[in-house]
Amino acid sequence: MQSAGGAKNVLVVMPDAEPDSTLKAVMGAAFGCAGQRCMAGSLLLSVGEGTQFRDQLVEAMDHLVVDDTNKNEHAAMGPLIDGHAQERVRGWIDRTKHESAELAHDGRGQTPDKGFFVGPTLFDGVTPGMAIFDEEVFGPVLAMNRPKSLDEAIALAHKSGYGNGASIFTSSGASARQFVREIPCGMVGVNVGVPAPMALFSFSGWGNSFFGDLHVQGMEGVLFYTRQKMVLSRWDARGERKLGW
Amino acid sequence: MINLETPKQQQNAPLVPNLIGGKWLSNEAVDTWPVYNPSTGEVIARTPMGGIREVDEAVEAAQRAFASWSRLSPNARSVIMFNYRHILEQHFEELSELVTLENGKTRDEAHGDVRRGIEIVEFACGIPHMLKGESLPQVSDGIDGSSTREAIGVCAGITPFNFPAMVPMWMFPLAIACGNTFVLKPSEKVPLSAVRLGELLQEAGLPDGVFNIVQGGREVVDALCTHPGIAAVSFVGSTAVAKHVYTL
Repeated sequence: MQSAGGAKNVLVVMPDAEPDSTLKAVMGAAFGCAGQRCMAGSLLLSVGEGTQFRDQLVEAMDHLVVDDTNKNEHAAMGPLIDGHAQERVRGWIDRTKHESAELAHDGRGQTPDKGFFVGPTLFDGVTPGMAIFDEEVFGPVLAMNRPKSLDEAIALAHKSGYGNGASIFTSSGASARQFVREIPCGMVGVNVGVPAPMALFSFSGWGNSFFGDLHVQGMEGVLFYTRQKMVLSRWDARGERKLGW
Repeated sequence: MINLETPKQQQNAPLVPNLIGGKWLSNEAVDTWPVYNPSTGEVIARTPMGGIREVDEAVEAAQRAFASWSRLSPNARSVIMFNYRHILEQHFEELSELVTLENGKTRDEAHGDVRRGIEIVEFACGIPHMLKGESLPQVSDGIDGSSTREAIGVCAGITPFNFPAMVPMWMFPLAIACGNTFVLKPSEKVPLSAVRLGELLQEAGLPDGVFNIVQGGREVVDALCTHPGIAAVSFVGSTAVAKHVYTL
């Protein structure tokens, strides 16, 4: 049995991150596939941040085209899978507002009339212990916290029981190296928003994101779908004579 | 608030078939689940919510196919993967549109869904190399040791709604290339991409019964996870269900 589950994946943005590509990657990680990915970046840890990155994010969210993906080829985000999912995500937004997180961008209004849409949503001031920090939403809801240092960001990431993905955006090799070594996840991105492995590697979830011993895809996939047969053979001429073969 | 119960539309929407032993079978006798176009809320198909009976039939068909399929040379199985890869490329846009229709992904996201799946088929084309074992002559006086990797039997895959093409393709191409036979239970919310992937697999020359599809929900999941005829189960879904099925 190999059994892969959900996650709360962190996106750590350092002050020295390249602004344009980082914004694009964070938007893609948080709102791609309407957030319905076990590799969605759903917890943004913007290190040493005033509100500059947040302001850029909110502006980008304002301009994200949410529409019928069959008809509008410029749609940048589609609907949730069904009416239950839509109600569930709206419920998350209502509940989180009552947990003293700040609703920095409300996606509930930014949607077509038909279909199961919820627009991109951002909560700032999210802290451990809030459901939105600890649990997976599986929708286009990004939670944000602004730690003072990389150490603090990594400590926050350790509070998650999940272990699918984590990404850092930085121009510092030393920050990237520390993050890669200290983050408790099976798939780590450096300036990559969704560090899902290609077919050649296995989809390496840790913690509450995976139950089993061998992951899907890559060589672990081959090992999972086969079993080893070990053969020991003796064909020595002297032995045959002695035994009368 | 969208009304989830739209019986009139549901009655007219086509029933999604099962694939058992190479035959596409319409399962009229059971309850159905609506498949939506989530961009419009319209019901586009109905998924039959099968159970133990359908799983038994699929596992039997897969067991029958296993003997000859697992005896084929890895090269012969690899040839079918090469064919499949070629056919998937020819149908790349069509598959992507199907993913958009039943899941709601944007065009780029749907392309990514199908492309990541095709890459695993490409990986599976190299299966002869990956099944090679190790050997060491003279491990003891007059004794040679060697290891090989062999197919395990009927494998099952249970997949979520969020990647209708990619996640099924995480599983069955590699399982089949290794010499196993397979039963897939796609998400009842997005069964159409999986059906098309199965049709194209038949076009690639896959023998009947090597790849089977049983449509349904929890009953099918429980039946697959506890079936004595199934050697291995791959699951992708929410953590709560992932943990649950791991303990079955």
